Amino acid sequence: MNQIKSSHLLISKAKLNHKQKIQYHNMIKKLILQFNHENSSSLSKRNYQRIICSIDYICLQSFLLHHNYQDSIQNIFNEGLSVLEIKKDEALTKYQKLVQDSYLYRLSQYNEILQQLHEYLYALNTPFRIFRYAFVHHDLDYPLLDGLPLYHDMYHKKGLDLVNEYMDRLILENQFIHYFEHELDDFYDHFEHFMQCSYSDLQINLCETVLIQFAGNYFINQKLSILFEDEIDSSLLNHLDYVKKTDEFYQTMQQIFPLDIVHYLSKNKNQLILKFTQMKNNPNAFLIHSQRSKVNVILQDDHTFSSFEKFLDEFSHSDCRVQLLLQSSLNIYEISEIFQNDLTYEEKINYLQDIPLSQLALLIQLNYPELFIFHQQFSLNIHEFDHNDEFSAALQITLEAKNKYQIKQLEYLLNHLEIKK
Amino acid sequence: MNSIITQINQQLTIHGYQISKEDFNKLKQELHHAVLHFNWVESDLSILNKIITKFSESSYLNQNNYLFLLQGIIFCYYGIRSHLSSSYSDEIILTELFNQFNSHGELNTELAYTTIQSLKRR
Repeated sequence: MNQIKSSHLLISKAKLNHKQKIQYHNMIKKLILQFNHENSSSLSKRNYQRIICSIDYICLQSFLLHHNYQDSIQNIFNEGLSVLEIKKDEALTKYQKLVQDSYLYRLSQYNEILQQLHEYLYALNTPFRIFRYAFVHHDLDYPLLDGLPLYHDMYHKKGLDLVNEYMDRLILENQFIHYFEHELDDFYDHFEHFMQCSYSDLQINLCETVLIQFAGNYFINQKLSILFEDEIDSSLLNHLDYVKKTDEFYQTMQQIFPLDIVHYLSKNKNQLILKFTQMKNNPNAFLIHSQRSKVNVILQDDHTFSSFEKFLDEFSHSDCRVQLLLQSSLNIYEISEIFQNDLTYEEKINYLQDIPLSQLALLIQLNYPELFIFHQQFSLNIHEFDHNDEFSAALQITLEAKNKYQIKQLEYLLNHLEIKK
Repeated sequence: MNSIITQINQQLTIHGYQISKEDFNKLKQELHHAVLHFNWVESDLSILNKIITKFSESSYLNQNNYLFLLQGIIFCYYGIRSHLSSSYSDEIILTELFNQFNSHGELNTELAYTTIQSLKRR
């Protein structure tokens, strides 16, 4: 029943007969006293509204089930309470399921949502529950497959009904994730390595990530898995008809998963097509894969401070400082320090133009660390750089002097080199 | 309503005055005005009965000033009520307001303030 229809059934807006009107007002009086622990017959407007909404919500439960509008208000109210008691028991069972599934998640937000649900459900066991059924004070801010409940007008539901709806959806997501349970640990490791950040702090929906990985694997490798062991050959995705392929994917899913799960996941079908169309040319930027091919540049810490000092001394008295720096065996941090502090602008340009591409890639990584978080498939675009410093200006001149092939090579290096101490 | 006024007047006669229907209506209006002012809702109008009979015992009230003083007391009562949680009962607030009014005999914001302070010190 949608919002408009159910609003007709709100007792505060219903056409009550004379007897019912008196009963309704007596009920308000009684509940105000209960709300005030029998201490006062008055209360703030806000709390008054809360009581009116609570009565509406409780009576609505009875109206929707029994369609009996002529009964006494007390009876309608009591029937509503019985319905809510049953819904509460169902909610507790669902909550237990979600708690049991928490091992699937490495997201701290999942634990927070469990805490929010626990607080709400706990309040339904107190004498004050009449005033809690209709109100969820938390935002339920772990996003589901189709986003936050807030973006969907809380599914046009409130209170216990909203909590039950949210948990139903989350349970379906967990049932889907269960199928990849044995791969999850590896997936998390790949993810953290790929994104260079801790998975637990992210505000993302696990089910969506798993679904995309699963679909990607199905499209590319025809494998029922969420793991990519190596980089993805983008040419495999280039010629796919995503609409057709996605239909085929959901049909295959019907053979593997229960219908209710497939039905739930198919709500995301269009987004899935869109996502894969976007990643067509660059799947490695979206799909999480293990990065065995990434080359670690290990910095050997065999340079003593005195040898660095000695070099600096020699460097400051030299006439060909760029040449000296190019021939040095300094590590990238030391080079970066001298580059920033001791070279003139012209020397910087000369140095950048003469160093090997691998060295240039490392210097770019050091100077723009922020570009390499979440941008594993880094595309070299000089306009993305901040041009306020000498490094950026010198880099722009250097890159403009490179040919297409060199730029491609540099991009490859930027995506595959990693500095390790 | 007449029976309520008769009931109140039986109490007031002991103190030598009576409340007219017109004055009772004015006090009711004052109650509505006060709850509106403090964003408040009163569900039981018998509180008016309680206020009138309680304060009729004060020696500061007489036939000439009772309407003016009771209007002020009603406003003051809801000012206090809206500043305190429901752990303070209506009766406790009325009793304390009565005591404070009786000891100073003045109706002003200071009365509301001292009543709240005294209740919070308990």
